[in-house]
Amino acid sequence: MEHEEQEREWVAQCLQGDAQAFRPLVQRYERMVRSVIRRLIAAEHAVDELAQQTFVTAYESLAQYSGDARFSTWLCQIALNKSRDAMRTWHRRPEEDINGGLELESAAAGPDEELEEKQRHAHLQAALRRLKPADREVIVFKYILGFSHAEVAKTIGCTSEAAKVRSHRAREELKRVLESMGIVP
Amino acid sequence: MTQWKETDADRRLETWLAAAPRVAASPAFCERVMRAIEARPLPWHTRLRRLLFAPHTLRWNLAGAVATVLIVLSVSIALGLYAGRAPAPIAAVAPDAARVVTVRFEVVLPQARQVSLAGDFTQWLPRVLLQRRPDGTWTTEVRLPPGDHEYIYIVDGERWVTDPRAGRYRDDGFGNRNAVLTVPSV
Repeated sequence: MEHEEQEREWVAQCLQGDAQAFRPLVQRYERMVRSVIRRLIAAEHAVDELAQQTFVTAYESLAQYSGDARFSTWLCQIALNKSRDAMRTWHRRPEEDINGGLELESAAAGPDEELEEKQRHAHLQAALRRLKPADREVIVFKYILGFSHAEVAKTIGCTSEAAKVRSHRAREELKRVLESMGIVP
Repeated sequence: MTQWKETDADRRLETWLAAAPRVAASPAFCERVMRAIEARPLPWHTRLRRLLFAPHTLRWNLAGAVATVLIVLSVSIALGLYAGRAPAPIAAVAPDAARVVTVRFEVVLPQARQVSLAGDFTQWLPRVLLQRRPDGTWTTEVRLPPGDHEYIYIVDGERWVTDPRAGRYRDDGFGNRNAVLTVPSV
């Protein structure tokens, strides 16, 4: 709660014209926004540009941020819209190397574990890439970011019940794709 | 209500997804975003808030202040004339050989029973009585030479009332203000 109150305070300072108050918000959510866009569009060369657009749009729209939802949820909505717009512009699904260029952080303890984790991650990303955009969005927000069904619903624009159904179906679809690649969770 | 049975495979898959690495932080990214934000004009809502609520510093110089006062006075007088309720007194129109002009003093005091006029031209004695019109306006005419004249109204013999429509005022040294009338040279 203290975390969210602090964010509301930063937002209030921004609205009073103190642009520097936006800096801690960028620092706090940079990785989340860049990761979300990276998962959704996969086109590495465009990630930083879209992430930057996300933050600039957020700054310019701060007056519309009601504070009802978490700031991170609101930011993800903007990142999702930027990604959807980009995908519409490109008229294609993500098809580039999912790990190319951007450095990813590993939580593995040793070299073997790290290698295994990298392989698993590569398989997951390959499977994600083969999902429909709508399924991929749900997987990213529900299972990778750990949003609640209500937060997923708010982010992608549906009811909580629909988010729950779509989460289940997207997970089933991901599992099916992985199995078709010879990967059994 | 839809119910699904969650398998071990589902739970493992969810664990894999939750452990998916995030993009590493880029030190340059935050700086790029902040530069982009600071390079843009402030959003309209921020400009509006600043305009309405932020304290402002008024910078002025003497020439500008004098010009502003003259404009305000001119507009006030013009509006007063237009409304037919000219600031009293009105320096009029009847110069004589000694360059003395007839000035009409006018004040709206509908509740007053008696109104008199005192000024430096009466040695501050309430010597000039004003006549009441049916609409509650009190009026009189006095002949005055060119120059500045300070004056005040005395209501019902006891209440000193500064002319609210005067163009200028001067402190009387006792905590009140006298109205100032300038009779121009003709």
